[in-house]
Amino acid sequence: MTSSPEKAFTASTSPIPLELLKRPDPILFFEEVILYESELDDNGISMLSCKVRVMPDRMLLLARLFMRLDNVLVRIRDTRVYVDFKTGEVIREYTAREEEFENLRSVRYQYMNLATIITNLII
Amino acid sequence: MPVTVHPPQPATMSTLHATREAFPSTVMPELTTTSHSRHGFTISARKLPISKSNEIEEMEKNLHIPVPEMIFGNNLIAIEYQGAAGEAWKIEFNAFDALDMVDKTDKQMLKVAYSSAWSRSRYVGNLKDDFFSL
Repeated sequence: MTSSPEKAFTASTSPIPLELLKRPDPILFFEEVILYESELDDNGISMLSCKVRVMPDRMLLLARLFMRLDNVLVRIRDTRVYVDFKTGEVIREYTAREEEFENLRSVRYQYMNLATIITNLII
Repeated sequence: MPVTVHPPQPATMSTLHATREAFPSTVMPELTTTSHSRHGFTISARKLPISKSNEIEEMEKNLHIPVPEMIFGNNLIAIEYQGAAGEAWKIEFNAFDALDMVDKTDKQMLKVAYSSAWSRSRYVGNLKDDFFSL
């Protein structure tokens, strides 16, 4: 990720407004690209993808690194960029979750399901 | 009875439009980059096939680490802002920059599940003594 040095991000406590993003606003532009994918020499999967959706008043970008090292751990690292077009405010949020396979025992049979894994990972 | 076979007629080439219909070539990236502008912000995305071997060599040379098996070195999503007063800002997500941030030392490497079992099974004794004692 490259970002202009003149306007650097500064620490903030304002979260990305998830409620506003849940509104059924029309999506004017949507794209999802894969940046890289690897099967770790058949030891799991590592994938970096980026998707973006643009609505009339705001937009959200999600760059996600999903990694599963079989029988070792699962790791998800998300970078979200939110833009409010009216105010010109840009919020960048990075979250990382990770858990060892042993501790995911209860959902082991569903470990291919990303949504299930996410709820079991520690932030 | 002689049969005349007409050679297949070449399809008429239509003008190359600057849309998704363009052939996925990295030569003219602007043809395969889609974008949308709104209130001074321009969001662009580029989706091209997997990087070719010469592109991969170039990346590995500059990164100093091997790249993942399937690398889309030309894919990107970027947000750019152009203000009325001339202020500019941009953020871009691409494979090269993401990999450039990876730890290139061997300090925090993960190990595969069977690595400790494999290490234990390796011969640890004194090979020379055992060989001559046979």
